[in-house]
Amino acid sequence: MRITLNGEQKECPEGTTVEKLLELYKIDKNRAAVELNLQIVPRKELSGCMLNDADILEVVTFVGGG
Amino acid sequence: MLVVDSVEKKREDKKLKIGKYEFTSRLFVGTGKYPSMEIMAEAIESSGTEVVTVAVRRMKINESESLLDYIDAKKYKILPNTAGCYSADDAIRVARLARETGMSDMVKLEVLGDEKTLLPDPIETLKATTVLVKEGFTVLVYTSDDPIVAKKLEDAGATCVMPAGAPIGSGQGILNKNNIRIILESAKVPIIVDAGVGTASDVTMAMELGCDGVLLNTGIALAKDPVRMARAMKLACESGRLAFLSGRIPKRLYAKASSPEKDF
Repeated sequence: MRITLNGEQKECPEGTTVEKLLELYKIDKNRAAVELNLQIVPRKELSGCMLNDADILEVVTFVGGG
Repeated sequence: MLVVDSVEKKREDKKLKIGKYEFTSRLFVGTGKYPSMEIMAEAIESSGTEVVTVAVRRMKINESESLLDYIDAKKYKILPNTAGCYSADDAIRVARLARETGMSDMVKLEVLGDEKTLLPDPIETLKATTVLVKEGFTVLVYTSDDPIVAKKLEDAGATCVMPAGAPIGSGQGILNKNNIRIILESAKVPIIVDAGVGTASDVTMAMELGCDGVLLNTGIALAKDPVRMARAMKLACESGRLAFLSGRIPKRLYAKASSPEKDF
């Protein structure tokens, strides 16, 4: 299936959870927050949250700012 | 430390209390625009700050370097901002995302009016404050130096109100001391001057006026020697605070001799 991760199209197998996807792209979940189709995925639900075809994921982190 | 000012009111030094957090340093420092991450880390250390602001942005996939490699989240309290938001809804979204990282429930709420002036939008700022307070955030809200708006934000439940000294990144210092004084007079929450600070004397002035702290970024980050400027800002903040607590002499139009006027 195909999903959008931070604006980029990515392929991933059926049954992938958000947590698995983060692992796949070597994203440290302790430094990130995830939005799935504009809804925040609470940290404790990352491992149980299944991705579906055409899902849109935003993963944000902290950068320099004032 | 106890001192007595002109109206015999004791000015007692105590720690800065922002909601459930207490800080010894009254200087909050940003993490943007430094020449390198290493210089940023050194400048932050040299500033003596205990609170650093960060921005929330889309993560770059496959990029290994992270700001968080350079900031010890155990040593510094992370204060995420909502910079770049131009509506209450956007700012609320960013604040919720920031909290979901699990690193901080504090937010520097910033809702701007337009890209040219980067001045705060008071109406959207107030809307976002109301929502975020209801959701349990510790809201430190960036605003203009308008005393009425500052009061309304306090009434809406902001934990700390942060009026701008001058426009963001302008380095012009505190343009309207009167407004800051009026804000301080009625505020029951901490008042931190945020934005516009160019050099050490700007920090001192804010603290001498009785502000509870100063937040700055560009003044340090873009100085020719950020690490040294960070130390200057730290000392300025402490000096201004001490001067405020000490109670300055009144200004006089004419001279008054410091030495005895009698002849030998």
